[in-house]
Amino acid sequence: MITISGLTKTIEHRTALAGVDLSIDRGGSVAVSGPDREGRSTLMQLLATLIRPTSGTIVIGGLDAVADVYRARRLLAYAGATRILPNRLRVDEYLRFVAGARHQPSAAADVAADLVGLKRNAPIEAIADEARGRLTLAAAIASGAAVLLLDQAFDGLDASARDRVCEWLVAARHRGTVIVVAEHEPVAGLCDRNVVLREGRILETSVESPLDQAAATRELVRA
Amino acid sequence: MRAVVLREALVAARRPALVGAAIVSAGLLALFPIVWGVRGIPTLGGISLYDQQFRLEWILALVLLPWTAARVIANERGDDFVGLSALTAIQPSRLLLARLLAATIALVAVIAGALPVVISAQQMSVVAASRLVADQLALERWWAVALAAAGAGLAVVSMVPWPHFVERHYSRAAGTLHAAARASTRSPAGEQPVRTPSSVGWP
Repeated sequence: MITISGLTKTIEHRTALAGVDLSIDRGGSVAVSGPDREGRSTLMQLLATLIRPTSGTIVIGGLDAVADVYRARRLLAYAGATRILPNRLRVDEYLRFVAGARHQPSAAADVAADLVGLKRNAPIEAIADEARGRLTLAAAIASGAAVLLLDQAFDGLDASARDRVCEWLVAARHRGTVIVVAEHEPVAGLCDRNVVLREGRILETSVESPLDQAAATRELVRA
Repeated sequence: MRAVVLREALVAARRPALVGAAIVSAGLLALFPIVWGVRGIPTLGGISLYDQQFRLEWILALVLLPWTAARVIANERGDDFVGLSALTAIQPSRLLLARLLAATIALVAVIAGALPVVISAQQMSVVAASRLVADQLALERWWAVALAAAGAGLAVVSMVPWPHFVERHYSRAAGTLHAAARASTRSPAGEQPVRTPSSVGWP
């Protein structure tokens, strides 16, 4: 579903990513972790087609995501450092707008709001800045995209919302959704592969054993 | 596309500027016959109250409608607009078209809000209803053409792949500024890091 090869990004003479290769199959999930400013968010933004690589290729669902930005975006949803402006809208109105734009039923918007623990009829401007991240995550969930890119999207969630979202993401993976999560530390039970980035390079890749995954998923469901 | 148009129209409808512009427009037009009476301003002899009021309507439209159009559209600009495009998977040009359509509807609403007052003046001046309709349509058509021209320009510009375009030019400008700052001064202030797209929250 996603194939990245030789991905390099240089920003102001600083190499943010240096020749990253990665492949993720349909229904696969990867946790990208590592310290700040080591290429984690840059990789996510490149995958989200928000910035252009210096060199290398990104193929998503058979589409060249560098050349064919707009078609590739139909497959993607990114929850990260994007701002959501209130525009005097309510949470449900905003999420229904995203779902509608992506040809999803409006019920998807309600599910997304409930998952992240946002009141459906709350005005967006009444939501505290730190909780706006929840709305970004809810929008990504409501989009019904085939690839979810979650860049520190769990930061604003409380424990119960985090568990609900993780449970939903695990179910989405089983339906074939690709999930890429970038966090300081890998989220247990959510991804089947962990990738650690250091100085723009993949330092190590580890595969979570099915046993670990099953235990972690059980733990999530129990919680 | 329908979802975007609905959203833009909802945003426009909730802006106080829309109601404010409609009230100011209708209010000033209503004040005109109250202040000057059914014959209008005496120095403008030879033309009816309706004609005088229609000129006032044009002046109000020239002042109020651009302000209204600028105030009722949604807030996303630049990076936020790119973010919206990525989130909805809709090209920026289509988002702009939807915004333009919503702005047009809002402007028509402002003009239509003053219609009862204009109709009263038409009745007082005994002007044919067909002329009233033609005048109002001309007014609205003029603004529709102006908006369409502005929108077409914006839509063409938006077809440039914005993230890449802005990033490339922003980086180049930041680099030039940085080099100039270093050349002009050796003080620590000259060594301050240049704001990169990522450091300013560029998505």
